Amino acid sequence: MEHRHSPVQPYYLFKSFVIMFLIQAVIVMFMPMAFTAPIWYQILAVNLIVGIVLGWYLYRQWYHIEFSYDDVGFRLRKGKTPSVEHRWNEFSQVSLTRNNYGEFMVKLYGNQEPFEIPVSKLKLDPFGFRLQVMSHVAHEF
Amino acid sequence: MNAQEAINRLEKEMMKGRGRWVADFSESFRNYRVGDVAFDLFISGNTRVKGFILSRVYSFFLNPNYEVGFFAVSTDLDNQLNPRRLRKWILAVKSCMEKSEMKWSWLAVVGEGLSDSVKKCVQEAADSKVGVAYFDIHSRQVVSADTYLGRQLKKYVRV
Repeated sequence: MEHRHSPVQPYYLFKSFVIMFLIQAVIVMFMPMAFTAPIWYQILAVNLIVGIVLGWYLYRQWYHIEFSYDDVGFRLRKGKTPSVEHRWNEFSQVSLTRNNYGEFMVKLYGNQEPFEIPVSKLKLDPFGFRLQVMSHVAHEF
Repeated sequence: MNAQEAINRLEKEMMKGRGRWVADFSESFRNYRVGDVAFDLFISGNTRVKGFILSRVYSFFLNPNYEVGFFAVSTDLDNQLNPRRLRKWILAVKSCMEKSEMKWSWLAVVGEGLSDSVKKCVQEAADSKVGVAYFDIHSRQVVSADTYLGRQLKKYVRV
């Protein structure tokens, strides 16, 4: 049975919105004051709406993570980059790591470079999911 | 609570809870083998605690930059802790420390029941580089070796 996880990450969504809003704010700053001053609130409203729409687009392009797995392997895709696929039997050891921001990742060791599954970003229980991955790896190994 | 649940709690405590006062533990392995010894849990870390600006500055000036490790192993009523077994585990910990260039390590033994012989065995584990502590899952009591590292584990970590 395939499990899918692709939760919205509020922090990265907000970051995308802020990036888009600031780009528009800079554009408005370079416009003549005589043009912008009378329609100040309208410009702000348009900037907010455009910031939300483009922020969502940017978030989907760069940050959104889609993860799916079953008993045989898993697939991970970040933003619009091509998805990465692996089988559990390519790995022999599993660990749980925590980075400087307090985010947990399940790290898979095999013959190639270690591969990390960002469990905190996927809103999975890091400790429980790691045990699940261990059983998949042990079963397939 | 059984031994495996206690190991799970210990892992969370070391990586997310008060165990971070002992060291900044960042990578955890379950069923970790060192030679013929299988530890239920091994967590590697560093004594330099990460955090926000003040924590980092404090840590940079006051904490040594040592690689450290935390090992946990469970015993049951049929396999009670004894000096021979404890020595074997400490030797395994030391061999892993040598391989990974770790300066300090902690060994937590999780068991059911706290007899006088177990108490004596743990208290006499006087290795200055390996802090030993015994966690009794029934009474929730912690007994540590009479060393700085052992006392540190007893002070901060609960099951």
